Amino acid sequence: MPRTSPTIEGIEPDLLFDEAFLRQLGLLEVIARRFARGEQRGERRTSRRGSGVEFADHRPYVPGDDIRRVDWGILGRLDQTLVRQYEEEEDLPVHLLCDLSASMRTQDDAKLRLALQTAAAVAFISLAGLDRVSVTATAGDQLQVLPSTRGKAQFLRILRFLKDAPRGGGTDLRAAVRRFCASHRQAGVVVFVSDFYDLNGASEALAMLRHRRHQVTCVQILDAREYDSASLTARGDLSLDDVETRARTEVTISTETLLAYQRAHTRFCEALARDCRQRGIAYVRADARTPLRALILEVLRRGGLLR
Amino acid sequence: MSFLGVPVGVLAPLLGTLAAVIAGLYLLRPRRPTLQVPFGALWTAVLGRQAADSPWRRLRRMRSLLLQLSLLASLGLALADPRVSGCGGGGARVVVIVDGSASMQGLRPLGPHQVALDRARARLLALEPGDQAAVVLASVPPRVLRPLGSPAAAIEALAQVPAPHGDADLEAALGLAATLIGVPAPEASLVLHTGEPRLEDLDASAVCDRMRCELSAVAAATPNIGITALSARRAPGDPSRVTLLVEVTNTGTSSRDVTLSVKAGRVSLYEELLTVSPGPPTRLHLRGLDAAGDELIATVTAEDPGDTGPRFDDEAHASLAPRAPLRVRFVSERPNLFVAAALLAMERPLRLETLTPTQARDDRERRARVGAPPPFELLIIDALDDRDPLPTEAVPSLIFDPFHVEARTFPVARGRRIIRPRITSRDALHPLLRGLVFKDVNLAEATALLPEEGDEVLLSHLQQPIAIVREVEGVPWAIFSFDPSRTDLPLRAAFPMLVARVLDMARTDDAGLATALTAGQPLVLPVEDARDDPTGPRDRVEFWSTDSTPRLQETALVVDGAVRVSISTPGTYELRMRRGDETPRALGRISVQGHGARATTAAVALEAEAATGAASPPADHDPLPRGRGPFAWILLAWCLVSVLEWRWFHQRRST
Repeated sequence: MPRTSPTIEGIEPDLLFDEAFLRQLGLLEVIARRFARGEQRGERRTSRRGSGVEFADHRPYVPGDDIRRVDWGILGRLDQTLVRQYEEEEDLPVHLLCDLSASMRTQDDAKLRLALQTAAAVAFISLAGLDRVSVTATAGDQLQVLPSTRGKAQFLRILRFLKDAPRGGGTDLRAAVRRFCASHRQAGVVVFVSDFYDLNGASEALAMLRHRRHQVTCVQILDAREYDSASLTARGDLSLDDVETRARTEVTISTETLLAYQRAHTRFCEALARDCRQRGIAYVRADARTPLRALILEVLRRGGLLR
Repeated sequence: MSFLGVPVGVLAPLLGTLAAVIAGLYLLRPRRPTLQVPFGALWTAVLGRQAADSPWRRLRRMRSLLLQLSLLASLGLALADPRVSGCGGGGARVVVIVDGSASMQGLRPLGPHQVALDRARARLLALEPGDQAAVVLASVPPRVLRPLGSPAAAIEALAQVPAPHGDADLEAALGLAATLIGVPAPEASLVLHTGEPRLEDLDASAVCDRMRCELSAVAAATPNIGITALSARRAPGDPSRVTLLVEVTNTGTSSRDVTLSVKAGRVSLYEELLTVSPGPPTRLHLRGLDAAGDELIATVTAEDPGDTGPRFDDEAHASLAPRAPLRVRFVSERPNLFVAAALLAMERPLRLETLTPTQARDDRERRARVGAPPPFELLIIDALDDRDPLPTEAVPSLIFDPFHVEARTFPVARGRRIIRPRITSRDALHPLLRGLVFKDVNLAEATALLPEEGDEVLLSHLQQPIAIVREVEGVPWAIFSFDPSRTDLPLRAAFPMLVARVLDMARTDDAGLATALTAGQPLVLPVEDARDDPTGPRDRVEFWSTDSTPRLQETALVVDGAVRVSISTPGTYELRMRRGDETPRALGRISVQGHGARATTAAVALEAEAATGAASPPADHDPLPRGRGPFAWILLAWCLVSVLEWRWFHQRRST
């Protein structure tokens, strides 16, 4: 029987991972392909020379350098005054951008549940690596931000934030990313968890993130029951209810219509993946019924977000 | 353009309203199931692209509505029967109306019916080739024998005019003829041939104001007295007597003296001089006529036929159902020629069955197991030597010497055995013995019977009953305690008469039925023992006339145990059932009356209206002849198809 972390009041049971899984998460870290400029010391080496413990290089002494960094051995052997340089170890800003719109809440909240679990898992991994984690939840025209925080002790705070974050509303990724970028000027690793059901705004949102030099990983969570013609049992004269806009459309659904929708959905997802590839964005697609353990330990690792 | 009986101004709004209702029904759409989708924008794009890709899909919704509207238009056209003015030639249009009621009947060689047909034929022959003619039969309801067409076709239709019978609705026939002609046209003519004497007084202004009407009263000058009802049956208590019900109606305008006579074959049963007045029919109830034959003919003879009137004004037929044979079972151990001779000497038909006591008991037990009733009406038990109980039944019985064997049990208590008894007293008023002489009858021996309360003593020897009548289970048993073969009673004339009285005791009420129907009416006649095998030769019933030169009038196949036939010629017919090449079997006789009970009712009513000057309201004629079932079914089917199509449209491929 796997043990879960201590029961915490107010936290959804789905977000409470068992101890073994947390131990596995602690062994992972978020991959930063480019060194991001942190604000505090961390465990990540950066290209900057600083006050770390790992030796990096020598450079000539200039007035003003700390006299303690002068390599006296070199001075004695070569009669050159050089200063030891060390690698700067900084923390990595990890931004979790979660789409909690109404489109994530269909089919028994399966997509929403997996998105929250994914965000929580990545947040735990980042906190365990002494990275700074900020969480942004977008739902309709609402954008709620949890400022950057560090340390495992803040994990519960993140969980509470995810629990209390607003849900519902439409998906406007462009507006959400614009507001996100306005509040997160420091480039970092952005893990964007959404179904990306924004026909026109998804590509622009990703372009905006890349423009801000974020290292973006898109985790597209889909539910096959929503687009697979074999899973959709509805036929005949129906009233389509858009869960985001609440707009109703009376249509006649046939098998051909469902197949056409499935083809269009596939084309949309392929276009999103191609767009991500062209922009150097990691793209991971997961079904809502994918076990979280498999998603974190296998899919995201293969996708280059974790190691 | 004109519509048959319905103006365009009336029909168009009606059809428009129906079309609007149908379109409204398509707008009223049932609640659809809801499908929640997370990506509405993509759905919209897909559906929009599909609609653009497939124009037929856009028309699909309209397809059902167009189908409904086309159905409605077709139905409207079928009902309206549109005709364009001027179409079909510009000649005259003539509708000939022939009175088909019984008042047109007549027995003279050239009766009113034939005269009317001849005049109609002459009128049609006078038409030009470009003219149009139609034939309408004034019956109830009126019928179109031939719609507007060539005069030659109308002349051919005159041959389809059936023998006059029943009633006639002249006003409805006028209205139907006017509807056939269509729009008022001065060249249109209605020619009405009728036997109604006062037809000129008929208020036909609603029709004749619009077109020319020619009224030809072919029988107006002759009296017309008909036998409108004749039924006969045997008297319930005496099959040799007949009871007749005769109804005589005068459709003329003045009282007439006629002679009513009833004959059975050549035997005259009744003859009376009657003065029949116009108005309600004169009814006579004739009782006690001799049943001299099974076929009765009633005739009405005009006392003063005048110059043109017929000698015989009317004739009606009635036939009596044949008397069913009386089934008698005779139980005896030995041939009893006295009893058999007495039975076979009866005038009435008998079916005699002789059984031994053992056979009679076995048959009784077999019937008791299945609960079958006795297959006979009278049981005669001779003196039996065996010791078993007598095979008595709950039917009228004649039992001789039940104590022929002393140890035998019998419902009647016995007294002592009497040697050489003498009949010292008899109940001369009893129906069995009335008028019979039993003087000096020699008897070898008898057994004294001990009667109980309710028993009737017929014969006694010194106050000791030797013949009684006891009622057992509601039926009489005549019990004679002596063996007739050991007496000289069978040699007396009283013996066969006594047996005949016993037969009367067992007689059932077989007065027979008055088997007569009206000419032209459909007859459904059940046929017993008919074989309904579609693979073998079919049974058929032939209707042969019973006059001096029998001729085959009708032949009808037996279907589902009955024949369905309509005979148009009055008379008496003998029915014979023929099966393949077998010899035909006689089924009975049936009489066909010329007049029905309502034959001249309408004519009398019209006269009354004319006399009072009451203007009859304009007839509200349907564009369709009344009683046309298929149109109603078509309308119903259209409604059903419309509802199903509408419902199916909204539920098409829904899950």
